[in-house]
Amino acid sequence: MSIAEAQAAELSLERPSGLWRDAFDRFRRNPAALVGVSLVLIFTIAAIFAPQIAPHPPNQQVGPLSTNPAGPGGGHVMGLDEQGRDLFSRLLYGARLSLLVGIVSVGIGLAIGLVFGALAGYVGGWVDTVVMRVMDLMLSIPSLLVAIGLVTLLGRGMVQIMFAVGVTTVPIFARLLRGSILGQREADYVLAARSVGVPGRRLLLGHILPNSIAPVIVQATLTMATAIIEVAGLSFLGLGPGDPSLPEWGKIMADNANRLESAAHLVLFPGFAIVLTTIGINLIGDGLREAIDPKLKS
Amino acid sequence: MLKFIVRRLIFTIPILFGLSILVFLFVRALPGGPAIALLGERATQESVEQIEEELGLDQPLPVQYMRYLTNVLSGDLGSSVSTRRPVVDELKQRFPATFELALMAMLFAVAAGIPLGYIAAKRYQGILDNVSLVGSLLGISFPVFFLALLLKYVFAVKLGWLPTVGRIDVTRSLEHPTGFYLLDAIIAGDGAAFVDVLQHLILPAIALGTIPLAIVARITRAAVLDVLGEDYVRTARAKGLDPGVVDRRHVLRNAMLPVVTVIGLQTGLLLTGAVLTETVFAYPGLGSWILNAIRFRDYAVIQGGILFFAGMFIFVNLLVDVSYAFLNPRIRYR
Amino acid sequence: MRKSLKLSALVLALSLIAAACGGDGDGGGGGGGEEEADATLTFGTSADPVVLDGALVSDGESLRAIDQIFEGLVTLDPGTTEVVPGLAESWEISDDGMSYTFTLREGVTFHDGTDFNAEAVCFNFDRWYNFTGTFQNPSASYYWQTVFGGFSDGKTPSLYESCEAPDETTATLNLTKPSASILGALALTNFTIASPTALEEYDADEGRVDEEGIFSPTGTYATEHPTGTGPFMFESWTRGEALTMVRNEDYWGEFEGNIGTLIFRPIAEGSARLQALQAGDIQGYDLVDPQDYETIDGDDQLQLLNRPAFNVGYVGMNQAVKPLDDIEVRKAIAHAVDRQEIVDGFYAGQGVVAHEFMPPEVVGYSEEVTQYEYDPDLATQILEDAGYTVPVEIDFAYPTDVSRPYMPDPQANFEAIVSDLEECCFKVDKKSATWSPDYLDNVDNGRYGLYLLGWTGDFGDPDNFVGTFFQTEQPAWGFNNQEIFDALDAAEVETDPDTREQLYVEANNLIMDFLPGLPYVHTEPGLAFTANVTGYRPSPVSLEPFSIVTVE
Repeated sequence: MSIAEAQAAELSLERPSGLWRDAFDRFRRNPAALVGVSLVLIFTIAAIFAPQIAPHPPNQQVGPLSTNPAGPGGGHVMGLDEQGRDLFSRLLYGARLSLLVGIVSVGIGLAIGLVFGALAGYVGGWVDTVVMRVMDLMLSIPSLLVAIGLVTLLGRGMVQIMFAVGVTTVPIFARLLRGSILGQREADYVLAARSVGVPGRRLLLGHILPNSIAPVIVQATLTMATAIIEVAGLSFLGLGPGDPSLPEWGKIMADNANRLESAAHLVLFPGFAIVLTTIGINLIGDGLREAIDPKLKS
Repeated sequence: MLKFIVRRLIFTIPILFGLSILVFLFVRALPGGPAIALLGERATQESVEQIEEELGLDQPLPVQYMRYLTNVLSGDLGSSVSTRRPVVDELKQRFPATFELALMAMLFAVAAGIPLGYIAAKRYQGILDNVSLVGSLLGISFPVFFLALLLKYVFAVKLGWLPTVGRIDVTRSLEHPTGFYLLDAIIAGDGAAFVDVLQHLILPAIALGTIPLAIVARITRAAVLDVLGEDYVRTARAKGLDPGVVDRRHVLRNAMLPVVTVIGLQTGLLLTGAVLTETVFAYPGLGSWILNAIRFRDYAVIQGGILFFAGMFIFVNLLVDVSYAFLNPRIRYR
Repeated sequence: MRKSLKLSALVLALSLIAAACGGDGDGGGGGGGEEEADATLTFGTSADPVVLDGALVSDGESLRAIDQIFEGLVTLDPGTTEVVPGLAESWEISDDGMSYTFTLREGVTFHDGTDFNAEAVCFNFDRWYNFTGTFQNPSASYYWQTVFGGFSDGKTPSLYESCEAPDETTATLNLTKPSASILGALALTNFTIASPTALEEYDADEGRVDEEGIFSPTGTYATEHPTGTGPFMFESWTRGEALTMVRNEDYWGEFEGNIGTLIFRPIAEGSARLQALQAGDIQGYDLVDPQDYETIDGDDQLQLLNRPAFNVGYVGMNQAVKPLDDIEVRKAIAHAVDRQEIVDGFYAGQGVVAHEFMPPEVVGYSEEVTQYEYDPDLATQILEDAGYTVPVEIDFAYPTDVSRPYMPDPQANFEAIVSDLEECCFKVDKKSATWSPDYLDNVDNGRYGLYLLGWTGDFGDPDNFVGTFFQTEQPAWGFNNQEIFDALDAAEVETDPDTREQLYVEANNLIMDFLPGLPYVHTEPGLAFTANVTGYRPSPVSLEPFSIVTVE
């Protein structure tokens, strides 16, 4: 740990709010990050105000049943699906699901992962070894397979999927936090604080954790993007939510992957919805990373 | 160095064991049973009971596990319910397919990603840099299956430039001594077949390799930027060394470290992306095989397939660790 | 660095050029618009066959391949369900209806050179009759058990008694009781005759049961040496890629078409099959998705053929689950669903609304069954009159990961029906499971209330439809209606064709009054080919020989 870094840590100990203020300013001035915020804002608004914005209820049949549903036009901005429902309305309601999925699954992964990571990093010793071996075991199976396995076991449903995807993100957060804590543990300020008798828990909760949080926030944001894509992937493979009328974006794509010839709009619109949302989240994540530590490049 | 390798190998054994137990329990916990899978629409109650009796599912779990373990260690992974063939035989066919695909995807990602990242770093904040950043952002934000569908639709269906499904044109007969079709074509000296196999690989490889491409480009750029800023590079330049030499001998080699790590980590991504890509292109590899097995409760395939998958993944990680240690001598003596 | 970029670009460019110029996978030989003597046809199937031994399979893809390589004593006139001579030129039925004497064709040989004769016929029948152990699993010998019942070990009674071969060209099948449907059954692919030499040499009767209790043949007969008398001979099989057959130059019969090499290529997704057809990788495929009918029809390079309707799609009702045991509830369901809209919307013009559990083409179809018009108000009325508070709760299940000719998109049908039910007077608890094994397992064990299912006939006999469903009490239907059971029992054994027809008509009337389920569609499944393929005759039971097909 270099002198400069120790000084930075000291600074953060003295005036934590100052560090955050600086980060916020840097973020504000980053054009890419602002684009990301706008995109995510659009989707959040769409999700929250779906009932007000949507021209039709998501499950109402407003057109004919058809194997070759009509594309955009005739009063339907994005066309209809095979049950005669308005696609635009369904996508708006689907935004709710996607954002919910992103937040909840990352929340689950974060919560569990942090506990493990903090345990491993702070307590160390055999606890560390055991926890890390379990994480290695989890990482040894590709995450999609783990998610598929869990969904198969637990059954289909939004809750199960969020749990399954959340579980696959646990090792990432655990490792991250553990690494961060390990780095901090030997920091001068920690040694100094301990030598004057500051109790361990206060140190952990009051100082080490908050200083370790920054990379975790960045990772959480980025993981949210992959969570959304992974849920869409699970839907695509036929393991999505059990209720077929749920307008989950990935599920809509999966249902219509074999209609690409005749009704491409049913694949393209939800697909690009996913892409734009994910880009937005990734931009925010990148912006946060640069804002929090501009020297950090990877 | 050898000690390092041996130590790492020893570490993987408990992981493999844990894995086998996990997979075994997982398969047993699945609802339903293979009996119905065999009978389909035409099952009757007595016939189902008859099969389940022969299944030996009434034995206590540890007994079943020991039987399973002894079989695995002696190379018997059971038979597939849907095709009635030994799992090992299917594995011998499916693995080379996915391996070839993953290899092509990785080659694509590296061959395009490293130069992209390097150039972007050299022209830091120039137009190319920004374009590459946008590009790699797009790359990681695109769901693999969406990309696969689009590629297939545009290039195979609409434009007809490349084939839509499979590994090889079925009207072509080729001997398969290795199972790796590109190799087989070379061995047979069949140039047309080689090109044909390559054509079948292009679209899936691009779809599969796009995310790794984006990540490799980003990491390379970051790593190169880091190194470029380092003191010793500036010193070398100040001394008057030809910039090209500086680049190759110092910048590149040190930038390779994080890239190699990332490449290793991408393997997991490739394997999972393979499941999605193989489905879209009807490519007969491991991914589609395991997925169907899970859907249709093909126990033996699920067990054998996942075990193999994970085992492969662990092996690749081992290779990555070793090459990492090779590139960075400081690691070896840890 | 730049070098490797250039290199990859070069390789890419070369491949694209090669693609544009040459390897299109076009299988029609020179394709110069003239008939080739030895055309190659690649056909897209939905999956690999399981094995190529007719006695051991029941899945469509195995049967399709076996149909090309093997022949039976009798067969069906292509495109119909009419029984015509096959390897037997003629036959006589004894007065008591228990002996069938077949006069066999002369000069026929199996693909391995063995002579075809009466001894070979009896060898095959006896082989099946003598199946033991795991070969007796329904997973192995479903059709033997359906038609003949039991085996030589006597555990269950068998229709088969013996086979006699008094001379080279005469084979007599003796039954234990008279049967009206045996000839139609003998046309089934599962009763095709195989070479005794090959069966023995390649251990056709060796099978092992592995750890999981799964039976698999260990001999190489069924996977590498299937040997029949048919117009095509087995050449090679790479799973997941291709099953290759070549023309049998010594075929005894007339080879009307011009196919020299026949390749079956498994492609799981219907849209992928279409794309392969459009790209020229295959020249035909089966199980066309309805949404692709328009595309194929509109393309003059392609043609769409339809099989005559021989199936029924229905909503099953398990009366063990309340309130489905109440006829009023079942009637209300029938009136609440707009079947016409579903048939119009999801079957691209190739379906008709079904009013009973067998299609009009089958003997015994009744023109006078009770009709249940789409009338949601009436449905609500019926429920309220019967004392229910609307909405009535019921559960309804559909299968995933499957596409059947009568139900190409189960989810679409499900959602439409649910939407109708909920708009009317019901509250639906939605369920789903993977088709195989879970969904079918659940249906068979009566775990669902309402469920989507259907049936394609195996042979042109009403017993194969309504007999299979309603002749005995079954958990899937959950009812015990002796009147219907008796009516079907009587109809099955009746030997006089006219009386039999009448009995089935009456049975159908009874059934539709009782309304054990809601049939909603009969379809004409589609096949697609490139425009230069002629002579293919779609068959109601999918018995479709490629020997009569010509590729121009």
